[in-house]
Amino acid sequence: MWIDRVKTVLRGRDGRVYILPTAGGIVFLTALALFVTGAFAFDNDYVFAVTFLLSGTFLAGMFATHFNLDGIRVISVATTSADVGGFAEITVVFANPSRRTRRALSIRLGGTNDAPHEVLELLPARGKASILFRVPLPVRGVFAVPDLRVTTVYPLALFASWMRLSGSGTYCAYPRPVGTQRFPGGGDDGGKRRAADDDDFYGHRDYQPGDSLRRIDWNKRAQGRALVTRIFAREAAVKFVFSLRDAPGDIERQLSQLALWLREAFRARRAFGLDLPGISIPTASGREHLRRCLRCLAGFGGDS
Amino acid sequence: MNPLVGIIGPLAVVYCAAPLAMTMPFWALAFAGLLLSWAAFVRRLALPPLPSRPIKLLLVGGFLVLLQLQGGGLTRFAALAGLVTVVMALFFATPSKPRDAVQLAILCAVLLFIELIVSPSGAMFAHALGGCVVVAVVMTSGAAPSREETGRLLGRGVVFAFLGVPVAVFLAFVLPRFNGWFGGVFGARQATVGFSDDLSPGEVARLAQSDAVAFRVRFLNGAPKFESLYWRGALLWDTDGFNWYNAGDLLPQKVWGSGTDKGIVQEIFLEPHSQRVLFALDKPVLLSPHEDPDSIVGSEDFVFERKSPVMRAFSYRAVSQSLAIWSEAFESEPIVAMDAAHRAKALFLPHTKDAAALALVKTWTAGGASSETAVSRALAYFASGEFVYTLRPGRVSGLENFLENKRGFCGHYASAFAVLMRLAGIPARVVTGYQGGEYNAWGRYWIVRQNDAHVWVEVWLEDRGWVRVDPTAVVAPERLSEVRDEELDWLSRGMNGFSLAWDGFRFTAVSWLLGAGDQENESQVDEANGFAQFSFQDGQRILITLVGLFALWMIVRYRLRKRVRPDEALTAAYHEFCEALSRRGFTRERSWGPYAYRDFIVMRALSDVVAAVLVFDTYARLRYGAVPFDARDVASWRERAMKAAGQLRVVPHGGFVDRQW
Repeated sequence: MWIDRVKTVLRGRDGRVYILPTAGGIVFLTALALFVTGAFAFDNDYVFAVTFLLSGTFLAGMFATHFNLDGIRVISVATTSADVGGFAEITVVFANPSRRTRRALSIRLGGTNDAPHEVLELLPARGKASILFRVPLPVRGVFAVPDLRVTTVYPLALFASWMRLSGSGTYCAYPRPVGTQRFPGGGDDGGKRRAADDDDFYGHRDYQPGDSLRRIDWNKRAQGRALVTRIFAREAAVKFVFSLRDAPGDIERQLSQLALWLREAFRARRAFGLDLPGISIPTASGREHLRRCLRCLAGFGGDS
Repeated sequence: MNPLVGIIGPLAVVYCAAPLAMTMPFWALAFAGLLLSWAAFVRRLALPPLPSRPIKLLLVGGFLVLLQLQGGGLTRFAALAGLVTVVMALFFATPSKPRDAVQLAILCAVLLFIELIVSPSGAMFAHALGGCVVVAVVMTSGAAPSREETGRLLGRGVVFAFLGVPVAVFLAFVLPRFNGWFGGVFGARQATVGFSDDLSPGEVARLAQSDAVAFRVRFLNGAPKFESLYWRGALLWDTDGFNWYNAGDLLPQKVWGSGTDKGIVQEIFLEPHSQRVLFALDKPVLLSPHEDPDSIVGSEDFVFERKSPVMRAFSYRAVSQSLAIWSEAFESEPIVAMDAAHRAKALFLPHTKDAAALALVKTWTAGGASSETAVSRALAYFASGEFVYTLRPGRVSGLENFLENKRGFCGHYASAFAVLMRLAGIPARVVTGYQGGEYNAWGRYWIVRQNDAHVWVEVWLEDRGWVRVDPTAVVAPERLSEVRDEELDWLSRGMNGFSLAWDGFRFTAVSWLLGAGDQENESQVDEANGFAQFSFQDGQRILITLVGLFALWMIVRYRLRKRVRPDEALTAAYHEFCEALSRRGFTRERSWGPYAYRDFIVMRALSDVVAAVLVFDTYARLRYGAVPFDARDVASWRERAMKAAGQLRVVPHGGFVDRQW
């Protein structure tokens, strides 16, 4: 889980509320017009009275729909990134500074109709509420959180009002950690067996095809866990700088391979760095460093 | 959407349709009831959903055909109400979207509208006010969030219904009515001008200044000439020498239970005038109201009255035959001799001996002239050119004064003529009514207004019976001619055209909706295309059979449906999905779980994989998540899954994807 937390206070670039009658609202209005015509035709005051009453409801609905949206703000956007094929999670926190409870807000991330869309059932008066979007990540890249479009037809569904709130922050689709190559330039082959044996136990990493069977932690396996390979202190001290040159295939394959190596290096608690055309990240270790490297891979070749 | 809408919807239909239930065709009621109960319990009893939209539309179509078949027995409003109720029950009783809730609310409002038109009463108005709340509640429950307290939901509906009150008051003020609001709300609005039972000659002038509609007429078998459009109203027998009235103590009233139906047939739509008198083309022989057949009485003198004053618009059919009139050739007709009592009444004059008048009459009857000669001479006297037709004659105190000034209008002329006839020994009486009218080409009917009010005279000729004589016609022939459009300036013409179009629309809509004139048209249609063999009863039987089959089909569907647990259904659907995928080349290893399979597909698919990824993700959430789900969720997942599977294309030759992703 890597979380980019962007704490910003956003007033919608324009928190302006737009409003139009819905299709139902137009039909309703047409019906009212017909009723008035009928009231004239039949000279029927009861029909006038009922039609006027319904017209009042119509108008009240318009104001209520407008004020259900007016003044809403986004106070923070937090994102998590994931591998391609997974989902990024975008958490948006809305604030309602007014004394009116807002209800049934439909929130769409981005302008298109197939954009992720969630319903905020209740935004309490002088309170906050958050919405979690799960955004599928079909393509590698670094993406900006798109603008939010908040829509409501509450309370009568005769009018729809909407407003746009600008998004902020980014999320990444990391290359999928897939690859066929083993750790490059590492001291992990059978030839180092003795040296490794001499070493102190350092930790575990996931089993990779080709690892020496002797180094598999069979005890863990016996406990019903997945296959893991033991690594030792001297190996851990080795620093890796991964480069595209070490990975085969086209660029996406290469990036996937690097992503896999980065993960493995991280799990093996080694220091690692990246050497990409135009960018190089010096060796370091830790979760934050891994994130930085993956982000670099995600954005590789792109504008960022 | 709030789940409560599933209960509110059917209840709203029941509330709004209830007052009209008695007028609706019973099969509509039964059908709607069946559908509503189905809608109300569809979730609770896990009934199968209602049939698909095309079948629903077919049902509505069948319903329309039946309504058409029943035709005559129903007013259009009753038919409309039945149709609206069935459509509501079929399509909108359990709204699934806020939009459906709005449609339901609109149809509720339509039912309220119909009930107020059909029976405008205080009780119905109270019901309709409740209906406004129902309309608002339906809409709020459609748009409300799914978790919402019932009380709050209903309360909000009430609030929105009554938020309309200030606007309603405002609109009532900006849209002032000529007759004021309260006349309409607290009782039928009454005509402020109209005929009274007696004639003070000056009174007609007051009528002449009002262009309010007296009645509208549609001729069903051809209109007569404009000059013979005399609309007979009341007969006045008694006079004080200048004013005319009816003591009403002598004439036996005869009910016209039967009569001939040959003649000029008219549909007359009378505006309320607070009197009993009914108008029809001179001379009417038969009047039959469109509703309440016993409400009209007629007399031997071709005068018809309603038993109670006409306080609301009243429509009837009249059959008129041509009356013997002075200017036309004699028509042989069996003449019943006038009895002595009537003759005495028709000749009675108070003892006011007016020397000038007597002298005048003497010149007409001089030389033992016949009655006809006397009438001709009298008409010639009025036509001499000395008399002036004017609506502002100044004060006319009596016959003597009138003959001196020679200024007046139809009231004066008719009154004076009848009195002079009686002085000459010719039985005479005064007829009040209307003359002329305005043809409305938009609706093909005639509008008769208060300013068409007219008074004329009938005299008894021994060999011809009662004959209509209109002294005004000889004094001012232009008074009785049709006003042509070309004589008006463009503005009046435009205004007139507009108001005629509006009146035409109004009249056509109202008379159509009230179903007037149906029987006639239908019988014509029946004869024309042999439709008569297929009776209404046949249609009814067919519909009942259809409804029965529909119910049976639903029950069979319900019985046949296998009871499957949702998780089993989900597994089955997943296997179906996997099979569909392997047919498309994504063969699954038996050991793969959903995520492994998903990753495989992502690697092997040429096309966009987002939909498939989401499908897998949803499956995993349903299958392994903690959230309970039901058959509907499974069905919707299955639908999306099969759609996603259909869109996938595998990379040929078993390769991996070589593309930007």
